[in-house]
Amino acid sequence: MAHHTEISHHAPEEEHPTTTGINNRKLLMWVFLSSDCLFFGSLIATYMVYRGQSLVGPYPVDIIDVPITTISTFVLLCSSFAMVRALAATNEDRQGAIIFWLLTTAVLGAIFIGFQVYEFNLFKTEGLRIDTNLFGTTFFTLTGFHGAHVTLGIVWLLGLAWVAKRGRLGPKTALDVELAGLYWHFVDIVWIVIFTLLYLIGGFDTGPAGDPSLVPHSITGFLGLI
Amino acid sequence: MATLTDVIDRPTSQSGLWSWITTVDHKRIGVLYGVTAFIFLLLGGIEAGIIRLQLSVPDSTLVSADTFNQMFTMHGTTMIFLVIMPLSASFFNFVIPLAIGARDVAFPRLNAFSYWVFLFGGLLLNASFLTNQAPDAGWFSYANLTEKPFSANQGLDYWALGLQVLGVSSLAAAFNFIVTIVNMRAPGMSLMRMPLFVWMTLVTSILLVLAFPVITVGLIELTFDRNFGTNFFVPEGGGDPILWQHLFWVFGHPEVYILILPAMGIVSEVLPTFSRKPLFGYPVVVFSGVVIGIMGWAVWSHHMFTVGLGPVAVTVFMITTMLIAVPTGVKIFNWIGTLWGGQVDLKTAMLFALGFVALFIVGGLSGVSHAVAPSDNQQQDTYYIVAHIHYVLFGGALFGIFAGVYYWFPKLTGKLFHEGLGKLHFWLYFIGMNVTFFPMHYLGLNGMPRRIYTYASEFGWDGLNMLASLGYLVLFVGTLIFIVNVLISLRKEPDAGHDPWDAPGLEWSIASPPPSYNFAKIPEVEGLDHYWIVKRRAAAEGRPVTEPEAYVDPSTIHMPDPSYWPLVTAIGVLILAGGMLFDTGWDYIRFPIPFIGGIICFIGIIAWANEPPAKEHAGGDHHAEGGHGMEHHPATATAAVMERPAGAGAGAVTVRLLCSNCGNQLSSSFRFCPYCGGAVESPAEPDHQEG
Amino acid sequence: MSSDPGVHESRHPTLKQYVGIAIFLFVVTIVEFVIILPMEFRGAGWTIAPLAILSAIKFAAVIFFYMHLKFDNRLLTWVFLGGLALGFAVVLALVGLFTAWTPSARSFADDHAKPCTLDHELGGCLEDRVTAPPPVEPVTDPPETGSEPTPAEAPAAPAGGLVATGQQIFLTGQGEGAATACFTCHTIDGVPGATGLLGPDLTHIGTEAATRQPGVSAEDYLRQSITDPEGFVAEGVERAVPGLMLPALTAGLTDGDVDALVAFLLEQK
Repeated sequence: MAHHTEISHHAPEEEHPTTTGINNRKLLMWVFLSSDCLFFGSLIATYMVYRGQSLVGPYPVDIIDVPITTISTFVLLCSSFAMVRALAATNEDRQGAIIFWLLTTAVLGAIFIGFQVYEFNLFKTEGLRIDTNLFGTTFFTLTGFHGAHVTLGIVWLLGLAWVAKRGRLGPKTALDVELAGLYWHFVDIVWIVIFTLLYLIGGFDTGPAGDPSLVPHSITGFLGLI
Repeated sequence: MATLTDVIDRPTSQSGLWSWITTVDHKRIGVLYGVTAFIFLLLGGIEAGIIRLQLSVPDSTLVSADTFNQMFTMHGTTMIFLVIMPLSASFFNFVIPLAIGARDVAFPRLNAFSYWVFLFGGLLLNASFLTNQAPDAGWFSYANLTEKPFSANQGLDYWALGLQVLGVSSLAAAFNFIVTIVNMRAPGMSLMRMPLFVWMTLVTSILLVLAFPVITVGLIELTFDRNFGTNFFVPEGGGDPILWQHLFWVFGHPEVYILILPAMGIVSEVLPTFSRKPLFGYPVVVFSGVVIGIMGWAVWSHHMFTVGLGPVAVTVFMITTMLIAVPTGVKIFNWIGTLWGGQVDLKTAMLFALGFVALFIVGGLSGVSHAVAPSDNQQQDTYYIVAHIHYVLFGGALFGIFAGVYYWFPKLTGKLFHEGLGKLHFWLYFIGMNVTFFPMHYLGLNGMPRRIYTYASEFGWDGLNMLASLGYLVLFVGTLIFIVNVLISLRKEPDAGHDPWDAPGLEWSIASPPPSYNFAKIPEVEGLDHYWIVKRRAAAEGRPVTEPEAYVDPSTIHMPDPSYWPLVTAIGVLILAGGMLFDTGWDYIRFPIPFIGGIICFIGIIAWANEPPAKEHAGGDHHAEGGHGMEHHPATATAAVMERPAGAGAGAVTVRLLCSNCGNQLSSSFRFCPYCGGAVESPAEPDHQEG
Repeated sequence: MSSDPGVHESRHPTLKQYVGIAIFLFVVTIVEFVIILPMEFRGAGWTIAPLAILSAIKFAAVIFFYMHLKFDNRLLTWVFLGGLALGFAVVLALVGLFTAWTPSARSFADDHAKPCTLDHELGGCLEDRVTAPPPVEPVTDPPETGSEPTPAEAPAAPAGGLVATGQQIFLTGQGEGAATACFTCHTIDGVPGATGLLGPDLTHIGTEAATRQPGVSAEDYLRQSITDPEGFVAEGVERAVPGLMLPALTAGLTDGDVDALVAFLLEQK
């Protein structure tokens, strides 16, 4: 972008000209997402550093249920698809479809949260609380903050659906939907990472009594990959 | 919510208390930031005074060890998070839109929100004094000193929550300034034509955006440890206190550059102006600033050489730390190169800028001395470190900030500072600073540990400690002189004119104080040091520029309207965080108050998003029907006066010059060559250059 | 700089592409699931590489198509990938710093495998807690009349218990109330774990206490030194750092706790 200062003359009427031609709000959203990468990066780092360091059980292999979470992961991926449909509907000014897809996205997100609430409760009854061991501490903190992001996204989507119901969303205000969509997809990709790390890779970690070769190898294996 | 915002119109007061509470004008917000941060500076200074008074004599019992711990913790936290960062933010706010030729920042209401959240975060942190539970674990609050068994009162909760709130403020401001600088530049202002201060603000904001989430996570984990029984930093539960150190310094070292880069930017503006010469090697200074921003991420463990990281890690961080001295040194040489051959005018601002360069060199050298791990093992946690940090942050950051205060005060108020008092202020600061902090190098090498509450006379630290405490008195008097100077200068009639220093920046081409709309006509930037180019071409043509841009009727320019909602949302944030201090101990709703704050935030944001513009110019604006966005963008709105000159962005007329000394082709009309300082030949043919 | 005018919609993928990506994401997730389906593959080191790569592919598909970075201004890609790369680097650096050179609590636990029940209140293992020695069997036969203890035995049993309780408070800080454990700063030779170096050595405090402050009995001197530590500091007491023992450290102890501590300390002759 260096040296390029030409004002975009082609921006839609309601957008004000900017130096780079990128809408201010859109740039703000991307900078925010970039910043949020460090937020989740730090939480993931904490999880990775403490992976396999729990002194007492339950350990991941005792309670992590990969099939159930694979289903909830599918639900979240579906919601991302619904989100892009909502944006397409907004751009095409199909009012009924806007509301339908926004609500579908929100409902799928709510189902994902439902799975998470179920999982948290199950873990609690099986003896894993946030203060039980390092696994519980890092697991609940990381997935909990992800869940909080999803919940915030649901509120945002419902707000947009409410605005759409009053007929105020359309091609001219498509950016409002696009920004919510960017946020929603970001939450989705964070889950892709969390699902891989906490469930597919880390979900079978055992306690000190199990095969000790598994835990250190998986960490160094991860490093060796790089 | 529609009913909510239909009833409550946007505020319209232009004067009085309400106009300040609801303002979204970047200049007023800059003033609010500056005044608030200066009050916190006095508070932090008083805390420093108590520390120095206690240490002035051996075996002193003036304050208890508990109080002393609270004093140095609050002094460090206040000076870093409530003074230097917001003072820098004050300059970002006031200067950046003016320097890039914009009418306001990209998100004016978000800007107001940043200020209010900063104010509330500072108040929350200092409210701990009222309950006599001020945090007492030092400004980096190492675990597990911060865990509940070792810090039973709520001091560390105040600290963690206060910093979270301040983080929200810093992040919001940094988002805003990144977007503003990337997107709101006047036509013709390419990246390599941006003033150095704008560049350093951009780098600082990027660092903030990337560094603050890390400390946010660290603070969350600390809060969870203290309130929810987690074991992040508790060795008994398998946790590791060293993780806190890593998280803190992954944030903390970029933070150091967040503190110093704005000051470097200010100095890079002041030195060329008062040397009558462009900044020497502008691209190199920009580049080294960016490199510092990047390398600042790879050095954090040099704060942890003594924790036992192992020889490999220590060696790696030792090397990266020494390498980062290179771009810093490059900048110093560029500043000296700027002075060389210039017509140096020793105004107060220039004195502070020169003081910055001198003292920063001292701080930088002592910094390199503890980049060497074996030597650091000796210096770790001694007064040598205290000396270093104060040379860098007092002699560095604060001197740079005062250079900026003296430089831009006439633009802000239209009035010149009293030069005599200003110079007295500078000399008191310069002498007081060295008398206070230079002896600390010796104290540290003689083994005086930092944060010690008192010491026995036999250690032989009495004399130098007394000297340091006397230096504090000099600094104290210097601060009083500054306050007197401000009060005297504010009572004067405006005497500065629009361009008292014959400065190069865009901001000097408009009236002082700037009108609410900043630029009636958005300028077409012709090159680096745009206003110098304009003035010198005009002078060469025999019609020197003596007048600022003429006033126009402000009502013809659509400016952002004041708003209540940033304040309301900020109050919500305060209650959300502050409510965490009240633990009911009930089973399911241990912390009910944050929910109230969350609801206030929610209402604030909804109302913010649906807010109509003020009534006078509601007609014709598409937002009048209820804009849904987070922000309007009236700063670049298409008002009648905002016609862009023909060919905007396509090409700008530039006069090409040759340097008679080195033969470099110069794209603008300088009297001195920026490469060698030589005189400049007569203009060659005007040339059309792609913008 | 793609400020290509075009119709707004043309900057977004078509419905067909969206559906294609959705199916692709589904398939990749299923493949991931299949990889870890066989029991012997679960948690195996070699699965990490394929799982990481597959998840990176999903990640890229979402950001470049669903978030249409591919179709947007290139600057946005740099903004996001910059943050992403830095976040990734921070994770790698921290994991590297912690696994490569730092001995961890867990590897210690592996080496010294022993049963451990986590103490939720204090942290640590319940098994490590210093507990009072099992009650000594009374020498005399139990009285035939029933549970009534004989008057002679009654005071003796609590006294022995008091010393044990005192030792427990010394080592854990936990009595009826709570305080910072004394051993953190004080050494008592012969008491395992009591090796603190910051405060005075208490190995012979039982004899020394009587002589510290003229006119004050050993018991009163100790009691005062616990409740108001800096109130009186005897001449010649060696302390690494003066002024550290704040009243707050012991403020949580009940009178009973202090009695137990005094009894315990008087035994240190």
